[in-house]
Amino acid sequence: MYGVEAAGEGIDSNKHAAAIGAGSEGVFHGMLTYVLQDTEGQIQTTHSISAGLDYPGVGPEHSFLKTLRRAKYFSATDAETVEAFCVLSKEEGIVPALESSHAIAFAIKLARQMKRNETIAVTLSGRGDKDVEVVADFMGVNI
Amino acid sequence: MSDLAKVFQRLKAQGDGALIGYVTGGDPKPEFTPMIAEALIKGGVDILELGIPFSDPIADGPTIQAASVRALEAGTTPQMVLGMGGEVKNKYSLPIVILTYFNPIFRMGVERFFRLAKSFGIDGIVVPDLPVEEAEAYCEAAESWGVDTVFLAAPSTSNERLNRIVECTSGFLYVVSHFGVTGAREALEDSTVQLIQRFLPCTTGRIPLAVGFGVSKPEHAKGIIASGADGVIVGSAFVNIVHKHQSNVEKMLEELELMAGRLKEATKRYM
Repeated sequence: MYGVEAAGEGIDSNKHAAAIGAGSEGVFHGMLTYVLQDTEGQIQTTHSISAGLDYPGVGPEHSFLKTLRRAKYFSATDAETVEAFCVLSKEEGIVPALESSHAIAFAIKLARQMKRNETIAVTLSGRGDKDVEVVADFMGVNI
Repeated sequence: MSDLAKVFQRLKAQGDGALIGYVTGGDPKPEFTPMIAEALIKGGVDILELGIPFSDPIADGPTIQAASVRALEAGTTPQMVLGMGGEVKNKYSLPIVILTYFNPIFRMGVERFFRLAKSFGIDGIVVPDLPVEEAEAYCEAAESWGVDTVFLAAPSTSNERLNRIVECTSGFLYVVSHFGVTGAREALEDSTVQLIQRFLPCTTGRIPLAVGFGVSKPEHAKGIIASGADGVIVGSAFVNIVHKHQSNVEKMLEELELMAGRLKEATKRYM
C-alpha cells in the first residue's frame, strides 16, 4: 500500500504538509503521531492546495501503518496534484477531490514502472466539484 | 511532604486559601519574567505558575494565546522557562509550578524533562492536554524525580474518573471552573460553586483543590474559597496587565503587585 502526502510547493520549500516525509513523532491534538515541529516541539505552519491536507500532522493510523511497514509514504506537489486532477477529470469524467488527486498523481508515476497486466486501486476519498475554483485559480483561469 | 503540599497545609492552618499566580514565561520578552514574578510575589501570590509558551495552546483563550505568540517570537524555549522558574525559586523560595502542553515534554524526553525540572527546583507540573489514562510513564518519571503532578478535573469529569485523577495527582488538583478555555470572566458562576461541592467529598483529606479558568477578580476568589476550595489560580487577569503595560514596565509591575495584593486579600477566609 502507498500513502501520498501533500508536498505543497516542495518538501524543501517549508510550504508543505508532509508530516510523515518531513516530520517527526510528536503529540498533537491528542494523538501520538508524525507531526511537523521544530526542535523544541513547537508545531509548524503548513501549506497545501487541498484544505483537507493543510494540517501539521497525520491520522495516527498512518503512523501505525508506516511503523508496521505495511504502507510506504510518498508525496505530490500542488502542481502535480492539479495536473492529476485534470487528467482524471478529462480521461475518465471523474472529478476527484484535491486530497485524492495527490494519490492519482502518484498512481500515474507508479503505473509507468508496472507491467500492463498489473492493477492499481486508488481510493478517491472525495469529489472535486468543491475544488474547481481552487484549481482554476491555480491554473490562472477565470471561471 | 512536598513544598506545594506544605504551602497548602500552612495556609489551611491559618484559615486562608492559596493564591496561585500564572504568567506565560518569556512574555513579552524573557528578561521581563523575573521582574513580573517579583511583583506578583510582593503582591502576595503563594505559588507561582509559569507557562511554557506553545504554538497551539488548545486550553487557552485569546489572552494567553497572544502571550504565547509574544513569548515565542521573543525566542523563549522550554529550557529557558524552567530556568526562569529555578531563578525565582532560588531567590524567593516559594513553590514553582510549570504549565506546559505535552509535546514540548515529549520532544525533550519525559525523563530528561523531569531531570531538568528537578535540577531547577521546580515543584510541580501541569499538562492540560495529558489525560491520566495516557500518563503512566510521565507519572513514574515525576515520582522518581520527586516532582508533583498536578492533573486537571473539569465539569465533564465524572465522580468515578475524578477518583482516578486524584489518585494520580500530587501537590494540588487543578479544577477547571467551567466548560471552555482560559480567560477573564465577569462573574463567578453558580455551576462553579456546585462543581467544587461535587468534588470536595472525593478530594477532602486527600489533595488540596485549586480552581482556575476565568478567575480574575477578588470577588471570584472570595466566592471560590468560601465554597470550600483550597486555592484559586489567576492567569489571564495578570497576563492582561502584562500586555497592556508592556511599554511601561514600572506601571506594569505596579499594577501586577496591586492586583495580586487584592486577590490575596480575597483568599483570606476571615475577610
